[in-house]
Amino acid sequence: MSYTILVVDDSKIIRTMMRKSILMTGVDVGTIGEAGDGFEALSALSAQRFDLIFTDLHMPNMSGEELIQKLTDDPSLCATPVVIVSSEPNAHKIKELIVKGASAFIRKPFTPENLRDVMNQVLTGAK
Amino acid sequence: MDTQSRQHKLTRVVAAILQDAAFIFAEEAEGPVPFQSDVLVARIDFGGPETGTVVLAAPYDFAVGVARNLIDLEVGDADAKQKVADAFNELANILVGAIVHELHGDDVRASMGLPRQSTMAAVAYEAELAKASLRITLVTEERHRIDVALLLR
Repeated sequence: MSYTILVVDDSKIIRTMMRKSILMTGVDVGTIGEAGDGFEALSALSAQRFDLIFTDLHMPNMSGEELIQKLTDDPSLCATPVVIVSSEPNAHKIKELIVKGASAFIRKPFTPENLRDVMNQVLTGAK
Repeated sequence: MDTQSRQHKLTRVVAAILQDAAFIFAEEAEGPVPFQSDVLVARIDFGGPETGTVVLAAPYDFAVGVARNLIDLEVGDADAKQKVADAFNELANILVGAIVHELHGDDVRASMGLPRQSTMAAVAYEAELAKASLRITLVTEERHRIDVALLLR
């Protein structure tokens, strides 16, 4: 059965690059949803179940940090793995977000290999 | 860290990011490489151990190349101009995160703003960048000049 992935980033360029890179990982992926901020992500999650969320941190309206908090607080969504994909240079902030519930962090620029390694790590046992 | 070491670090990280993020190979310019036309400039403010602005500047054709490499931009694409602008901003965004991380290490507590983009006449650009605290110039295989500068406050 294919995995469903939600990509959350305010940059359409990054969403397109993520989509291309995810398809190059070799992981069995079905639907790849897209959201431009945390609000759009929550809306997508209310309409469909996703196996994994990739999210940026710096976004207008609702940041990745707020999104992670909302997901952690929601019993129906807290088990969905969230991977931060960001150019955030602050390692303390990343560590705090991992403690809060994020599963992993990928620093931009990412490669299909980075995504594949994290997808394999995070999705193993998630289904 | 002295200016020369910082300049060396900056050159190394920018060349690596261009290669990893945009599949563009560039090396340090050995002499003056004047801009032949207007300059596309992206600025991102940052705060932390230092506060200032990172400036990425290059010819428009370079930004077109970035968009082609990142998202397979095609000739005649209806949104080409917007996609080129977005791709250039994204490159700036990735560069700033990497530069701050490289200059200040893993323990840095830093913030980054959103990219602001403009097109400047080469003369005006050179006048503004004369104030830079740190500045490097790289040249791509296609002889495009790329500047990255730190304007510290």
